[in-house]
Amino acid sequence: MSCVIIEDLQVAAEYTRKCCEKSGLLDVKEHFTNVADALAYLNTTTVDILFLDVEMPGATGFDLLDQLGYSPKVILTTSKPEYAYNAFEYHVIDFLKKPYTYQRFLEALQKAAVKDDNDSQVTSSDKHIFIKSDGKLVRLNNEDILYIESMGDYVKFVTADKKYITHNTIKALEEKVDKTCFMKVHRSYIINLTKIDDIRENDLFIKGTEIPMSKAHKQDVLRRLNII
Amino acid sequence: MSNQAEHKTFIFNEKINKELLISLYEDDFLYMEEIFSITLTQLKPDIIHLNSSFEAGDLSALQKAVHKIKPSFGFVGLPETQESCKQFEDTCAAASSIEQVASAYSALSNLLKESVIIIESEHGKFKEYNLS
Repeated sequence: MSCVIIEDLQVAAEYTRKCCEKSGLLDVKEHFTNVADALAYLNTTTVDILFLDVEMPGATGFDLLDQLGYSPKVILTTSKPEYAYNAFEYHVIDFLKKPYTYQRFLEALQKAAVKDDNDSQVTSSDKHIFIKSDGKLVRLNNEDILYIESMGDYVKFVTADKKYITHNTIKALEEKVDKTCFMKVHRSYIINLTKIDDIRENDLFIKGTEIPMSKAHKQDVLRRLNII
Repeated sequence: MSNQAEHKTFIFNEKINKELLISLYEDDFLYMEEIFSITLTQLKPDIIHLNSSFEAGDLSALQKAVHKIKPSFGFVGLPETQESCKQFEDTCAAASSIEQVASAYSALSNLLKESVIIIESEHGKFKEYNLS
């Protein structure tokens, strides 16, 4: 993840930079000591996370958030706990009171990662979804998706001609996909009900791929099919 | 063997909160040296600005100046100085004239001088320790 540090106290900025490097998860793109310079950069460059001080010369961190054209994840770094309420109002990820420990820094990163999973891996409408794959957002029409398969911390979206791997879980996706055409049939599979070719015992087949059905889900699947 | 172990034991100044420093930097004494060095470099002009804000009778600038230097002391294991800065910041916020904060400022100014002396001393000890 890319990040920018906006902090007028040099020692605090260096400490944050060191925490970022130590985590191995963050690439510190820039450090700014005032809001004006940070805004000039951020209006032309998108980053994932801002480590943002509040009181700085000229304008405050909250002024920056008011003027920024997009919403990166924000972790406030300040020595004034009185800003906690404002932090809440601005939907910041976390509030680090200086000086904070590396462990506390990691907890803030963890919160950022959870938010990422919750709101940006998959966005859906009735007819299509968007997934993050290979660094871009890819639109997949519901009617093109055959099934979704679990791969540990990742899932594979399978269409007739392509496979897309993205960071997500079957459990999280189950809540996000259109339930009128998608259904979980096994802890590792969500299938498109309209794509089932045939069912044999505890397996169903889609375009030649055998997909297991758990006992718990089999009856639900059968109920959803137009069996005459 | 025992001499070497003794040689590698760092004795912190009693005013320094050793536990806080270890929680921030573990036992990385090179890192501590770097942090103390950066702090000293920035504190000196910041304290000059603090003094000039007081002498100019600019309460708002004084409040901002003390707010800025406040966390520096936490990073070098002087949380009590950080807390004193916070109390002075609050005093400034509640005051309507520079005269109302003069006595508190005098006390803070003395504390800051003492704190800088401690930071300088510890920085020197870190340098020596890291060279040995």
